[in-house]
Amino acid sequence: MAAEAGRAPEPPDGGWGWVVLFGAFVSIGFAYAFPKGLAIFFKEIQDFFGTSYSEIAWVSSIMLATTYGAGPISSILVNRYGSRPVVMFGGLLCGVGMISAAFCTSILQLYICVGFITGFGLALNLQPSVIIVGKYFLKRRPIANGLAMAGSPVMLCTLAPLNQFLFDNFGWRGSFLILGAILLNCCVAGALFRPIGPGTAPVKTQVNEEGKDALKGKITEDGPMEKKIEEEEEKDCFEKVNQYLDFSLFKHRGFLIYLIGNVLMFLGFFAPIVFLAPYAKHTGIDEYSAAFLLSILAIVDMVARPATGIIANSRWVRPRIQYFFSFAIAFNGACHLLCPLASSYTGLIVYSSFFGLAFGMVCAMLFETLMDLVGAARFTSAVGLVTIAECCTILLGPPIGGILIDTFGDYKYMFIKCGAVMVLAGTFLFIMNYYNYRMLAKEEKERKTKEEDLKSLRTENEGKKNWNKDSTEDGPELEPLRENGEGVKKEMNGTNEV
Amino acid sequence: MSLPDPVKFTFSGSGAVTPVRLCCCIGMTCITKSASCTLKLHFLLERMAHLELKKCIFLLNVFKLLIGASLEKNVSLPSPAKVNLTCKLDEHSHLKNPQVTWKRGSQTISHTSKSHNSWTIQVTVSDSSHLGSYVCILKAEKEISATFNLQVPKLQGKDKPVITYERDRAVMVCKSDYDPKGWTWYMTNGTELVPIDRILRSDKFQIKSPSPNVNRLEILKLTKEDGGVYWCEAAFELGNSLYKFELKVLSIAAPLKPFIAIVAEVAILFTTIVLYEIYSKKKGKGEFWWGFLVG
Repeated sequence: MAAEAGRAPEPPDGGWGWVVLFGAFVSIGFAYAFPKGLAIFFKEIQDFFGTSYSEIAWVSSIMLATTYGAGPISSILVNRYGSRPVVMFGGLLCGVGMISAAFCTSILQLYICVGFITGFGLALNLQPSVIIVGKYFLKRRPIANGLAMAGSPVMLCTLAPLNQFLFDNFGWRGSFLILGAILLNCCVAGALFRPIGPGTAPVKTQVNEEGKDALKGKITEDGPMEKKIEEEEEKDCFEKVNQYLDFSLFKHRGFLIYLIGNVLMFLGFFAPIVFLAPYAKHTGIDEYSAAFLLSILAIVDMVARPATGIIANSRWVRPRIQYFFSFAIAFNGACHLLCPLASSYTGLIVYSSFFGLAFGMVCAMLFETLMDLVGAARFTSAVGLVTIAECCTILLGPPIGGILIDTFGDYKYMFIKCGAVMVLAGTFLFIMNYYNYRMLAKEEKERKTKEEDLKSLRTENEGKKNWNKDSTEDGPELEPLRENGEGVKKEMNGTNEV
Repeated sequence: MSLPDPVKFTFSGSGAVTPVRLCCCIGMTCITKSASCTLKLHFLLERMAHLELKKCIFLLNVFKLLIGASLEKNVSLPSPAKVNLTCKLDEHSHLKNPQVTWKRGSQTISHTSKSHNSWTIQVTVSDSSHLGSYVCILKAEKEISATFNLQVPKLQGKDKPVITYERDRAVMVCKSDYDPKGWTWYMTNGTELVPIDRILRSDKFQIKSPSPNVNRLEILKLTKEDGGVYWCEAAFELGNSLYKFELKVLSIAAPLKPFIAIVAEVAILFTTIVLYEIYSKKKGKGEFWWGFLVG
């Protein structure tokens, strides 16, 4: 009875899941769009405090670094408390951060209030939202991910004019105060994240405890049996650490592939967006048309994300979703490589549209592919470990691009660098995932043959009932334990059940 | 004289991407070797580049005359200079044998040089009386005119009102592309412009100059009465240039109203969701216990 309750329930793929998806949409939207939306205030704050541009840019960098760097902390908290309280606390923290920023009297205080506190709050918003989408959806997970990630461009398109309006009417201090209140809406989004199922990490320990009880109950001073109990206890301690943050992921082949590929990709991911408007102005386009390019990018992005989700969910793509992801990254890189050829305004509009499309495709599948590789249960820890690794390259990307532009005086080297890095990342992921798929198929085959052997052995054992037989297989008493273990393992490998 | 082609650019890089500083030479030497010249590119109807060199004696301006278009160009002169103004007719134009006159107001100016499709005058600007509008009028089948406005450099600041709060401080930054000889700030008293004496009232007003072409006015301990119009004046050799700032001083209550409204909305939504959860859990718990008892 307890074992049945312990098995993770089938994701609903709908129902309350759509409400959770809306909450995730809002939460993810704020997490990604808010730092970008703050850029409107920087000129005024720079004048107010009399600092240089780079000192103000640090506010943005600290915020971004904290949002990505606090990933593991977010994962640990979600593993311990679940998504709902973490997101509510994150929303509260964001609100408090921005409200206190309204009363800042020095740039250092702004670093702390806007950079650290709000950044940390956004980190506590971002990860749990992505995690809970994975818990509520399985069959329709790519669509759900695409829709949830679409929150980012939608929020950006809403925040940009809103920030401008607030700034024109209330100055930067009043705007920060009101933005703090707006960020409290993340608490509301978090309240919607009704916990679902116990998840499979506690299930593992629960099942092991049951197994232990079953073993203890059957104790008859048997040598091999005692040894088994000791092994279980040792594993328990290790599992306790892994319950908070699953470091055993570093042995997971798919996870490592994803990590290396993504860390490489992020070197060239954000720099073109940062430099698109300056590049446009450099080629002689006026400020408003340059801003319009970014709007085109955002609008195409907005449409591309759910569309990619739908495509990724289709029967043909879902089993091979990793290839689709690698293709999207390589497509992104190809866009950047071709950008220097676009010198007229029309060319730049075409580039912006394709860039928006490619950017949306990659973002929509960013977390979906990770879920696909490690499974929903271990995804909590995986996302934390991945974001802190990406943190470094995300922060390095635009400054490296800036150095290239300064050294050569030409934007095209920055685009070539970004394009080359992304094409390389895409190719790497493609090849390594091909290898991974083959290894997974091989392992699946081995496991099936092992199961068949086990079944035949079980019938033998039932007939004989001989404990002193020195067999490498487990005894019949541990069969229910093993079956549960198998079930758990299957979920964790995240085999596609489309 | 027409625009020399090609124009050579050399870069002296700085650490940041913006601002990018360029040194431009145009066949003759750029006057200041160590300092950097600010490069300004203006795009007119046919996207023709016009260059303005800081502190160079000759200012070159070339226009492309288009049929039916009315053209105007502002030329900023920080210091006395000899200016060559050229009207150049596009090669593809089908206007034959045009007659070109240069005028300033009602006075005609004779050409310094001309070719089959360009007409140039040289204006020596030594004081403010030589500033103004110079028009080149081209008479053929149609009459086209192009105007050059010779003026002191314009200032940049904030065109929208500066919003500040009581007991906070206000900062107004006035910028120029060229280095003026001096800066003065004025506040309005009714219709009068009263210069701000920073020495007399140093606890209230602070004027700083982080660089020669930037000037900052800081007003401390703001009150409602401090709101209004302030003027920034930059003194150049050929005259003064003004810029208007509008200061608005709000009380804390102004942003507080929308703030409280949004917090109330958050609280209402949050409470609704929590109540709904408790309600549905109560219903659910009943079923759970029933199922437990039966099954």
